[in-house]
Amino acid sequence: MRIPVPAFLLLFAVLGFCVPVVRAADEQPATEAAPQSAPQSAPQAAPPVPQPGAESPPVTPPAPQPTPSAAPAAEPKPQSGPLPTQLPAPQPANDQVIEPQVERRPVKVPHIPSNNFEVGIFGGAYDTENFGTNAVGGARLGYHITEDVFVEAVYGQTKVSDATFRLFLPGGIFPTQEQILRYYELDAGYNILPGEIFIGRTHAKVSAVYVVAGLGSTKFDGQSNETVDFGLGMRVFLADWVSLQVDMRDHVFSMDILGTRKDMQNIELTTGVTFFF
Amino acid sequence: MGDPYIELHTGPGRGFPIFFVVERNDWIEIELRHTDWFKVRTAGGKEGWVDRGQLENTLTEAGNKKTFRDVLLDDYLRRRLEVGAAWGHFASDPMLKLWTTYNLADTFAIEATAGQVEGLYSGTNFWHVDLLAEPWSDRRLEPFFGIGVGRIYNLPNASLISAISTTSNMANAMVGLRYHVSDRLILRIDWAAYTAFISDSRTQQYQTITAGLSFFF
Repeated sequence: MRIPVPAFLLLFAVLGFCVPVVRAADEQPATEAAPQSAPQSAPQAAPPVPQPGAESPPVTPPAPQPTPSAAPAAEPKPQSGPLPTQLPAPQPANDQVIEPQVERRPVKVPHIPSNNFEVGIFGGAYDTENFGTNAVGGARLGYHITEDVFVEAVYGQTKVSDATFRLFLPGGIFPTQEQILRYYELDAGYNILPGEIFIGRTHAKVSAVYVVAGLGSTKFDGQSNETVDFGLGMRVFLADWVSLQVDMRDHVFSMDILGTRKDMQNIELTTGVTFFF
Repeated sequence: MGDPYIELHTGPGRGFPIFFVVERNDWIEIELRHTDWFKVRTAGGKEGWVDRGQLENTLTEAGNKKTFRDVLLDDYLRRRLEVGAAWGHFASDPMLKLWTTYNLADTFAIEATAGQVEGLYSGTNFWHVDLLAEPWSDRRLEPFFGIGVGRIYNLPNASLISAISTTSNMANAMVGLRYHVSDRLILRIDWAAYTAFISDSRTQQYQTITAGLSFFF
């Protein structure tokens, strides 16, 4: 298969027509460059004829509009007329975008104070299953990751008494009548109901109702037991840096102090004050 | 202010009502950050909370070069300290561990772990310090490896009679997988082998598998 010579010439003519347009769009002196390259590539223009199958040669020496000797002179001229009208369009892309009128500000953004940490103390009542309810106190350290999610570590301790058992079971259950129950837990919390609390007509305080769940350990009567806890709480910010909160949590762990191993549900109700820093 | 306007909410959350709008080219003063919300004060003295997304195009002190977005990106790239917790099994007993990681480089970190195992008959506490290699730390799902040393304490429950507590040195090796849920939050699962050097002639091996999450400060 050989491409007929006139078709091949036509192809060159089309290429030769196109390339100067592209070049002219790139740079203005393209019209000058084309005639210069034309004489150099003229010898190259001959070899492509026997090997028309190769696609690359026509691209590299695109200048050879040479076949009709009158054409190179004639073609660039009509192009140079319309081309300058095309030039302004691509050029603005290289142009600098309009400089915004930026006002300088003295604020140092990188040192914005944040208060995502919280530290708090709480107190309330802890109901140890089978052993009655006693006062509980503790502390918590938390970190607010997003507006919804926070994590906290909680430590608390309460007293547990087996006085009721000692009424009918001389010697009781514990070595001594009163034992200290200590727990620590790592919790994740989610603010399910963020909102505001309105005090009178002029004050609104940010608040949130949250759920928490976590894992930890309870040490009690010489045993250390894995503990699961979950609960519900509410926090009201008095200011950006301090909040009041109430919590209701259930601490579940299993123990065998009454003979058989069973899960103990220990409900705790506390109120506390938390500081953010 | 680079955005056409920013909205001031009454509280640091998406649901709080918008009570004021600051226009472009107005000045604001950023007073406080709480999670991704910034408390700003307008030139007119109004105080409200603005989401990070709206402040990203705000321009900083030195004019137009460094935007708020760059500052936040710097924060992200410079994050180093990570804290996490996980729950799992330590030789079939439930365990809980807590760790702090400090990234020394993109692919290299040091980690301190404290853990507690709540066995039926005894409790075990341990701590160890590890060196972590994270060869693919640029991936969202990222394997990592660690080795370390520490101490392990075994305390029998009081309901056991005449049991003794033991304390020994230990070494551990760890393989794990981290998945970056968001720019701050990471899910992590790891498997570790602990070797406790109980005496000169005796060692005890434990295997643990845990799953948990950690976050960057």
